[in-house]
Amino acid sequence: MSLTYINGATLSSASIRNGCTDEINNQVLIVESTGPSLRKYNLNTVAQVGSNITCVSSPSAICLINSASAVITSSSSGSVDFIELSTNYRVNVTGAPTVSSTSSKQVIAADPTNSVAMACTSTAKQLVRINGSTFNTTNLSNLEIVGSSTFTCIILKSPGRWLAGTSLGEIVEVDSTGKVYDRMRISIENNVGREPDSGSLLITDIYGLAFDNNMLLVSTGQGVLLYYDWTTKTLLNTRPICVFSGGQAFTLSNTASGVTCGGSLSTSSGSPFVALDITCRGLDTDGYIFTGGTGAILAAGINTLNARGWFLFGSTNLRVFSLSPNRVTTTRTFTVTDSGQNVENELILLDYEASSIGKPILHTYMKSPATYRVESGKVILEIIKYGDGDNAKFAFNKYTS
Amino acid sequence: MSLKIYKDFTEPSGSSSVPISLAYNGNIYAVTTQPRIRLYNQETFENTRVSQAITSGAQGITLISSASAVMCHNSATVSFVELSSLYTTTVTSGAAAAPTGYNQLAAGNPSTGNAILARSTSGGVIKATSSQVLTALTPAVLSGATATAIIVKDSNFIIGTNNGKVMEMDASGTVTTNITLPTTPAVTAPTLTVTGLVYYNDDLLVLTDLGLMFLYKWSTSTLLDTQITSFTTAGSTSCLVDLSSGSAAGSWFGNTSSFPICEIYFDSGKIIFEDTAYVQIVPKTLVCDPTTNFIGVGGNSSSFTSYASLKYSKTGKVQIPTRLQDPAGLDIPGRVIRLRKSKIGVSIVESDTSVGTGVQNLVATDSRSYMEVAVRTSPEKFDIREFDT
Repeated sequence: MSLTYINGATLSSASIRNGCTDEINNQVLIVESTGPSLRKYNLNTVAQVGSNITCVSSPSAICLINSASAVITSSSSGSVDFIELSTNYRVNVTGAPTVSSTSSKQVIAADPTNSVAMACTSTAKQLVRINGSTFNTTNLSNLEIVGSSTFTCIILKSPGRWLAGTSLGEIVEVDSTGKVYDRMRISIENNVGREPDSGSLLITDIYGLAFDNNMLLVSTGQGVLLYYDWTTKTLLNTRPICVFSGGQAFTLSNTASGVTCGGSLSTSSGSPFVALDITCRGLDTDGYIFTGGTGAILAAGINTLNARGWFLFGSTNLRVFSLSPNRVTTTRTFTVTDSGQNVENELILLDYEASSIGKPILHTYMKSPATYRVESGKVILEIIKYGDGDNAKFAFNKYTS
Repeated sequence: MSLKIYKDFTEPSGSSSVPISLAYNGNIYAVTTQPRIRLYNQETFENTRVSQAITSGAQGITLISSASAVMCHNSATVSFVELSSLYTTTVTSGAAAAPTGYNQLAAGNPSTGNAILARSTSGGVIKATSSQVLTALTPAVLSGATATAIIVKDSNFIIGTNNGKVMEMDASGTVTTNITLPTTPAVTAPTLTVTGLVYYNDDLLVLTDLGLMFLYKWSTSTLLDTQITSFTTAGSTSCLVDLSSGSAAGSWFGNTSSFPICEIYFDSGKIIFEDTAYVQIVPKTLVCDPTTNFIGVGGNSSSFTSYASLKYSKTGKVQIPTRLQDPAGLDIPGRVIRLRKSKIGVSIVESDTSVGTGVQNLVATDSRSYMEVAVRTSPEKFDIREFDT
């Protein structure tokens, strides 16, 4: 894929806080705090749809809680808005915790299938569940995360499951009750003077996540992106990506066909907004647009229905782009057993038909069975290794994806 | 893991930093803001010699002969350093102030006795010779531009500028190749500044201030790959240094307490980030001694250190034999795919080639781990071996 710039808009009398994609209506929904208001922009025409819609004060985040309604959190008011998108009818529900999006922008994530959203709060060990069917909020307290950490970002992994990052470098998989099903703690080797599991943990804050078919990209307060296989929590690669000195991390979008987009605060005019392939060509730069300005990337998103994307930066700027697909993908489940038992194994996929010189299609350490996204129509040589030393076993499989 | 944190030191005078250094012949020539040159042993980090006071504001240092180095400063002075004694002499005639905040502002070729130094005034560079003569070179393509990265390529030099140009120039100032880095797609096209260059075997790696890293086939000016890295801001320099044989090291600002150093492999037509380590010093310059696999990180002092270093695995090429037999004892032709494995997630297919019968030598990198796949084409069969070089 590559990025093509479509058009931009400058929001008048606005101080943008966050945004989300309304995929069915092909719109980006933007919340800003000057009005405060919710504004809708068409992703084809990049023109505002309708008028400004008054919303909760100090809006901090927005998501579609189902196909018909959006929910907006506030960083000050202790309430949330439910907006019926076809009529713009607004219901404000009090009693919710405040939700801040100062550092991380991914502080709310909805499961539209079940009309439930989960949001990060500033209270230690606490998430808030927002129910789009009953229009109420529930604090989920004392969740099983280390120390007195707080949740810093959250994305939807699959219906009913979320991945949430914390202020102590932890990533957990939770359901809508806050029950933790899986977890990992960032631990960075090869650094000077830091104990990986102490109060001076090298990686502390998790500020962004992107997930697709077991591959996880993590934006950190260290100014680096970390790339993991979620099935075994294996760190596969690292990339220096931003200057994290002003509290502004690299902001990530959702994924579309295994590609995520993002950018960061820059005082250098025109720093690029980029697309990163996190599946078929592990952590590969897939395209970029020079933004032509300075300021933090406040939010980014992709409409997975038509590969039209957007990002918000500075305090008033909307930019719209398209992702041009140059590959078709499919998913493939890899199963490796030894004596009938699923095993952890090293998996290498090579482009067998063409010269494979350079990067393998995939090189990971996985827990069988696991599903990965691969390019369609490729002749792939699959190499599997499990066990070590003299006990290592190998297997080959050649197939067309 | 091919990058390993090694030793560091605190500059003895207490308050000064080591923004510039030269790693050569097992030594570190640390140019401090005191300002002095201090000689350290790369293995022991023992400070064995210190120079007299030198001109302040050093911005770059490079070898100009096997026994001497040349330095540019932020003032119109060029210093020549006798490496065994650290005795320095200064030349002002023909000198110009260098720009500040870049890693590769001086590049010397000890075999020819020529060095090119950047100057902050646009339109040219300074040529220094081992006989301590300075000459301004002003090729037309440098008009309006300032050199921000200079490296040696054979008997020529490759120069990157603050207006997104990269050119090859000989020691007389004649430019033979000149490319402009891409600035589209863009909402508004930026002006790119080159912050680092590494050349190997017709591949040129270019790092820019906005974080984009480009890989070119230099002889044809063909862009092979583009990868995003961290941008720079005032006080957050990005650096690139040649580890030889198609590998490079880069440094960037991370956050206020740790800074990533990456090993990058680029000899396969792709930019591959192979390993990462973190140091606690704001990197201003990155230097390498390929004879000892030493990387030095000079920069602003933190509360922990004035100068950090790393060791990297060897990058030199070696010939490793391979042989296909099926059944055992019967040599056959086939296909051999050789993967260099740094760690899980980062493997590089270094060669993918058809081989004839009998023992065949295939190139590999020294001191690395490999997985080699052998393919018999008819009937199709696969086999594998692992080995270390």
